[in-house]
Amino acid sequence: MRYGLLIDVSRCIGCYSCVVSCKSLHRIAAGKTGRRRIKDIVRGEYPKVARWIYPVSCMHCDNAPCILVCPAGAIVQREDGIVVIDKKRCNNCGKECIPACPYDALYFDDDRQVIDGCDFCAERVGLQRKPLCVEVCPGRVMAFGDLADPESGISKLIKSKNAVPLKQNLGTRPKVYYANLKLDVV
Amino acid sequence: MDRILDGTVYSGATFGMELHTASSQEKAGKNPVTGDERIIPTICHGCAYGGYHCGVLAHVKNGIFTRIEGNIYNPLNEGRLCAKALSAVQWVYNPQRLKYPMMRVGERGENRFRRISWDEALAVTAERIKTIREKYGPEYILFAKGQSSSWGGLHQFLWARFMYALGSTNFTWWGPYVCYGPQLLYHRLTVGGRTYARPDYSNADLIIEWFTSGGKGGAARGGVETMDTNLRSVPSKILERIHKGARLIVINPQMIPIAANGRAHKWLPIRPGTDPALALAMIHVIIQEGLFDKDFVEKWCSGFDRLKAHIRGYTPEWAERVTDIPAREIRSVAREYATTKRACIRISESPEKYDLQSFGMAIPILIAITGHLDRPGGNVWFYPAKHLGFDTLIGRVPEEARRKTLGGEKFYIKRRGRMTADFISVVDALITGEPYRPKALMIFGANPMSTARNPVLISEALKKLEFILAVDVVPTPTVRFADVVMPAATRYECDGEPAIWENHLTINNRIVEPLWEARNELEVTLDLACRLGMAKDFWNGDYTAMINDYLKPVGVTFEELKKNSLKGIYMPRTEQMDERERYEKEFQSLPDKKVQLYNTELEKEGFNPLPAYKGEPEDPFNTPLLLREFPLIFTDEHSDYVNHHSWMRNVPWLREIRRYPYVKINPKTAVAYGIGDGDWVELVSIHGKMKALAWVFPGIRPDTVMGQHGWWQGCDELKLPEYSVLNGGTNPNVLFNWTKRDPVTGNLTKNTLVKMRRALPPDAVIPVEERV
Repeated sequence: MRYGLLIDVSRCIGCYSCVVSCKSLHRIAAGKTGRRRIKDIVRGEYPKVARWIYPVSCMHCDNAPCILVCPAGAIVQREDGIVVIDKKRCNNCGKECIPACPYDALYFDDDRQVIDGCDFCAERVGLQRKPLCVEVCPGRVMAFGDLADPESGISKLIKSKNAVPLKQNLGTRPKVYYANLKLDVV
Repeated sequence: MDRILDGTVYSGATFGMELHTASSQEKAGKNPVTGDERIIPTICHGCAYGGYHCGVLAHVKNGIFTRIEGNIYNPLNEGRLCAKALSAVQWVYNPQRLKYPMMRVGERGENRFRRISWDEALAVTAERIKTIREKYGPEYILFAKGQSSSWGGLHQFLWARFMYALGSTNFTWWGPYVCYGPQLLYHRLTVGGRTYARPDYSNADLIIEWFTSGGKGGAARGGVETMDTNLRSVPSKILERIHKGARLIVINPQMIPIAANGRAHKWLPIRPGTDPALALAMIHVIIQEGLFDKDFVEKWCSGFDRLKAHIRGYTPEWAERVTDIPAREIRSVAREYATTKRACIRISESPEKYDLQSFGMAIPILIAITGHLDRPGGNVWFYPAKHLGFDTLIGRVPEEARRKTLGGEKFYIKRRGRMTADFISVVDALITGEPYRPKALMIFGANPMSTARNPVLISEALKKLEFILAVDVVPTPTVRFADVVMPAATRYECDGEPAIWENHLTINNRIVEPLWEARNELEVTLDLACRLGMAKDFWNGDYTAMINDYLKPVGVTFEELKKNSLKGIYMPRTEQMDERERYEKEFQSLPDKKVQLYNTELEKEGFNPLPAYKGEPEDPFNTPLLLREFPLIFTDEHSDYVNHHSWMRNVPWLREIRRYPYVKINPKTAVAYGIGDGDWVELVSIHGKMKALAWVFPGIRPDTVMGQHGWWQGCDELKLPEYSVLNGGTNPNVLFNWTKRDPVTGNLTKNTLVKMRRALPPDAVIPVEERV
């Protein structure tokens, strides 16, 4: 089992539903960076512009820089591929992991004094549910499932949509795939 | 049940819902999925309440409403939810709510109130209404409802009945006079029907989103609403259809989200205020090139030859100069629309105009002559299986009393049967005393100080009243002017408002008891009616009896519906839901029972029978001299999916997404004015000035800046202060022309010319609270 996420941006309207669903479920206060963000990028010059809106979060890399750099060894990858922060081990320094992540996916919650990031709603996954953002998404943008199984819905979709992870060249081997994101097209 | 992207089929069991909610919503019970949480199905209020909205599952832990998930059984959202729904708990437990009844102690508008009991608040209100009614007459009593309580739902029925029982038809509200209503009038005058012929997205091969705000209203809504769909975006339906190969054309001065991510095959950044010119030029091309549906025009339209002669001058070359869209693009869009069999157009209130007539008529004409009316994939009349409702007692208001309706001599009000007053006439009457000056106003969830034009004038009008009651969830700038303030409960604290969409009946449930001293507005209304001696007409104050009366048309009881609130109740489908090409039936209201390409009803009333382009009170063509001093076009992008007009900016999870009142500026323009992203700017028109934060955005026309109405509220949690809605504050409504009105409907403009400069942040305003 290797859990992964597919984001088909052709269905994303940047409505922030995933961002707020995450904050509401994980009780993250307003004003904090949070586990999910929306990128809203406009390329080109009027009238020839392209706008790209899509969500980003922890990519659950198989070769995660944050795991490598954490001095406390507090960031671990579970057997099912989900990258989690062991809150008992984490001393919340944030000095190494936050800058190490090429996706800016980790943040420091100064109220709760913790380093925090997306865990694919691990508790829900344990109950055979999908991450809340996947379930509530108005555009049905995301698919969640097993990347190890070539017959799973997500594996087939990644193939048929030619989906790729972000910053693939870094060798981090992320497990969040993006389809129809053409940042270089104006 | 429902499929998500990867084809997973969800059922109730997936969600663990059968285990608890269906068996007993009221009983707390441990289950493997949710632990000690109780899950109560209800309907969302984020886009408005009192009508049919998305189904939600409210999670309650130890008596605390903790969060929301989607209800997959609701056919409108099928489990999807938007940001507004998901932050419901922050709306309910918000410290910025109105908490207690209050009475004014200072001057009107001075913002000094003392806390009183509910009994005192109701007693004072009843006494004042009674005295004014006896001393002056019932027409001296006004009633205003807002968008918050939806249209055509239970609230509106009850409040109409309340007013008619008192004997007054001066039931007014703001929206229908600057918003949805006027466009609907033109639509119905042209193609008949009982409501808009709306885009049949699910069957369309071409979707034209005309100056809509992508995702305005709840982003999760998947369907077409029974009453006021035009206020809602239905992005999921559009996305689904695009996924199946439909093309999308977006006409909008800015690149809205629905046009992003490579979805729109054409984005036409139209010059604000010129939409009728584009529509007229499209008609021109379609007629000149013979692309219209000849059979339909011959059989079902009247006045084609006169329209053809009239439209001759509206060439694409002329429209290019006006709209700034190249003539070849106009031709291409006209051809694409006319030759795509299944093509639909959605317009919204956003291009609101002084010159509404030409736009309001041109769009239905376009739909009709191209054969897209009431055909699959075109613009279709969607009607529910049945309507809910009870007698509003309008029949009891005698003809002579109806003649006293403010604005009752106007065509728009006359045609509506003088059952409601004209908002602009109400304001005029208050200020001038002509034909008479009303004395009392009851406001339920309306905020004209923020949402109406012009707030400075509204504040003058409010000061002329002898008595104002304001009932709201939050202390709006309108509440500031009240004599008695009553705290309304949110819908998560209220029970039982049945609603129907298509053939699906649903109802909301109380999630938590009303907080502080808030009360359900419907109960308050019943209470007031009883205190005014009208108990007999108001079910003797019995709430359940009222709901059962409201449900009578569908033959379902309150009890039955509540029991089924997870899944709702499906009525049998009726013919009016599924029939198409209902021309004989829907054209009954039209002269000759035909589409009015030449409008004889308007002609008889002394108005122009044809759509003729006029432009806006202040625009580059009508006021070229003004353009020298005020070189930028300003318009309002209406609301978006993280607020609800002037509501919800106190909700932290929503507010952090849009922290400040903003104005979108093209980078070229920003450079020319020395403005950087995030700078405060001041916008000045000949009518007023406002402040906003610069949002430097390459996806907007360089000659245009776009703001958003509804900004006043602070957000305590994010330490953001309240701002003024008056001149110099953060309210775009001070910028627009107020005196030039569409002659038929009185509709006002939302377009003007401004100059812009960097400025200091706006002054903070002290919120309304108990302060003696």
